[in-house]
Amino acid sequence: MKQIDFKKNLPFILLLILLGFLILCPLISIFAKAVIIDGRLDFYQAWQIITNSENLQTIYNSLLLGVSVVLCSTVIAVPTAFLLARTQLAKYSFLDIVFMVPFMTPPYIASMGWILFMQKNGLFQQLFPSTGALSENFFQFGGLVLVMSLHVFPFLMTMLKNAILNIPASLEESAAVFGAGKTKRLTKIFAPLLTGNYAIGALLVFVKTLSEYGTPYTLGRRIGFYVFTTDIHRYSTTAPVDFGSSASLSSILIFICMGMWMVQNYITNRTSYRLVSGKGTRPVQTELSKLGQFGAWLWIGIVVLIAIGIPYFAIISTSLIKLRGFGLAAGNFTFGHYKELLTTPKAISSIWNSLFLAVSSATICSILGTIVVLAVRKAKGFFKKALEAVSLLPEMLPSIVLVLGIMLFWNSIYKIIPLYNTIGIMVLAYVILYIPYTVSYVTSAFTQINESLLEAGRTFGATPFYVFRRITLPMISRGIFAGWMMIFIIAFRELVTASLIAPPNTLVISTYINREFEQGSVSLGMGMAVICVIITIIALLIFRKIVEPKEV
Amino acid sequence: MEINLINVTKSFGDKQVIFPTTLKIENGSFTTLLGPSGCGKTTLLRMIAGLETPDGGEIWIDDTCVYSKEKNINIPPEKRHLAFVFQDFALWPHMTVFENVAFGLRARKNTENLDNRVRDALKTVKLEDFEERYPHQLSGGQQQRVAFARAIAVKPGCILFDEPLSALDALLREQMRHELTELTSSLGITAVFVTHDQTEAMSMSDRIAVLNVGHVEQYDSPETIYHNPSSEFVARFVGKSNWLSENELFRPEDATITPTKGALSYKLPVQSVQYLGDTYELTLKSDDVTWTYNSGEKFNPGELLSIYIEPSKVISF
Repeated sequence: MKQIDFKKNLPFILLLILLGFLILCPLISIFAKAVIIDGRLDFYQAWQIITNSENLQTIYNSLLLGVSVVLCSTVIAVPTAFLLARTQLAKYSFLDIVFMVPFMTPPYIASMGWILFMQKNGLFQQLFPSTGALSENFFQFGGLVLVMSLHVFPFLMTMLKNAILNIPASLEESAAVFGAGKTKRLTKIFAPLLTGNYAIGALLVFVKTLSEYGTPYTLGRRIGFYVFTTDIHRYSTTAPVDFGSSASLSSILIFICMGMWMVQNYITNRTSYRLVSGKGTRPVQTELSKLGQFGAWLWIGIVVLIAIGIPYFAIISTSLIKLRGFGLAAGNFTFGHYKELLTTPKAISSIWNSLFLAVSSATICSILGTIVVLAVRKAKGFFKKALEAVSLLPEMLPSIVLVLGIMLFWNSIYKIIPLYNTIGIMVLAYVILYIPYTVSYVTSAFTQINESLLEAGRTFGATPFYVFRRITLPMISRGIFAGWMMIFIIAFRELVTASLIAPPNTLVISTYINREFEQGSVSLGMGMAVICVIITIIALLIFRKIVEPKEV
Repeated sequence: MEINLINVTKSFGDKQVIFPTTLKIENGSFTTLLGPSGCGKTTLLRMIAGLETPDGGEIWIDDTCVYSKEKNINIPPEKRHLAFVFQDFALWPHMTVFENVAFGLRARKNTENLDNRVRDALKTVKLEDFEERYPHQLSGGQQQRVAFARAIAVKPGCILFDEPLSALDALLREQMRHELTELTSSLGITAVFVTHDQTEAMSMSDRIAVLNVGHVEQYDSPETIYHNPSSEFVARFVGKSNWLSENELFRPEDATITPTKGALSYKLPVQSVQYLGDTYELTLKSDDVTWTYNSGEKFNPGELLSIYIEPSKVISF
């Protein structure tokens, strides 16, 4: 066997140990918890836990929800993607931003909006009293599927849209010249070319749905529909706490997600060759007639109304209503709740906590993640693969699973490192959850740097450090900053981590909103939601400014 | 198949890319549309195919009017029964070579003896063993051949080529040049070929239409275009030209270093020398002109060289 050059690989080994400690140990803790019962390895017992009828129901529910959300978001995403990629609507780039809104809206906030809108004496019934109890039909499986689909469809839509834009025009033009009419071109060329991308998108939507906690928690629980994430949360927090059960469920969820990622990877490898186009890629356009354009805008309007209009109307109006008993009536509006928010210590401290967590975790991730990427590029063989795989692992797993692992692991080493139950554990958890963002943004920034640029620096007499400082760092800084901003946005409204491992009496924005929504002043909660969304949107606009390629 | 363009025009937005153009492409000929990029040659080709709609004029294919502004006719590409070879080949990546070639036949429900006809087409381009492969498993030259097989499989009256050789490397390009002309002429197919490469145009065509900013400057045989260019643009674009005055020039190969009676003579210093294997290409520099001259023997920079041109070889317009 070849001797591993220890000295040369030492930095990689240390980095791998650190990442392993942060990411792998929590995961191992979950598997251990699932199969070690009363101090003994007991697969039989573990199997018993998994196959009890309640858990089987949960698994069935989750899978059913996943499939339904994939179908429903397909129905919304496919026509929208086509309209935005191929018709006159393509030139309205503001629509891209509009359709990012539902995806960037924290799912729990959107679900609360829907609940406020549809519930008994809710906003819908106030607006249309003659409809009676009609809107309450929303509170069933279909409603849950709709709300979750409205959150994820932009993701699928963007993937499809980019895939459509990547189809060289000549592929369809040649089909036309060789005698294929519109329908035939659609079924024989266009659709088959997209199946690979669609399959990948659908799988990711499925995984995202299975991993999602916010909507099942706010809306699913209300209608008695329990899935993996809500059950894991319930077993871990509600007495009698049963970490064994939550660990077993988590293990299954991990296997499902990893399986899906492998399938996804397989499809990507098989289909990626396809749309590498030659020269002369020119966008194809389908010219819509006046009526067609009207229909297209109507469709966009309906989607925007349902995906953005309804939840935001509900959230904003609730945050402005003085007395909920009087509902939407002139004179019953006030900015008082916002004033109250900005003077209540609890509310202010939760904003500060969220800001602190978002900034600190984004900063730590940016540093650690960039180091990881640099190491991955320098390392060879095993270290390269291992570093990359471990650092990207958190992205593939539901955050609730990782957080559960962090809980179990840091609890067990509390005597050695007493981090658990402090705000430090939250920073740590956020860093673990979000490090893949930095890694992928910085990696993609690196792909734009040609190796010869760095070699050129060396030939002109620069030391490696000088090359890094003057050439590499400036060129990847946009990637780092884009990653930082993205982490900031997501960490700022993070719910699952905060609700599982926040130290007692430490509230962040998400948990504050939840608490007010469930047992306090709904209007205060919604006011906080509006503030949260505004900060998110500002951050998002900055983010877009960074990621947009500079005009050359 | 005869193609007639009558007063065809086209603008993209405010920019007129084709000024009223009338062009007759003769049955069985190999016709090239030659011009620099942006001259409108590809647009013209795409309008014949129906991939682009003209703003005005008429297009006839044999006795069928496929486009007429006045009569409000615009037959879609799938009903024009043409074949097209795209610059990027446009092979469908999700279909095998066989299916790519069979597509045109299947699409037109012309499936009698399908297997044999597809194999014949593949045999013509010497790719009979590749029918189960996918496009990405082929080299550039092979992809180009599949694109050509796909075009001939439908037995079209005319094949439209949009710079089909530009994606190939130099060696392959020359080889394909021969194969393409041989195949089209042996199959008796009318070919319309778009290129910006004058060597390609000269070597392959029966007739060349030289285009410049949306106008056909000259439409003639390659020889006529070379020896009797009708405008400065054509003279500059096709072949090397040594300018005597603003509207007089001669081709480098028409000059000699042996004096003849009545010849114009010039004495110029050699500026630089390039050895091209078969000849030396000399650059001769006078006060305001730079000429090239191909010489069998070597001269050194700075040497004075006398060259002679028969007045009949001087091209003027």
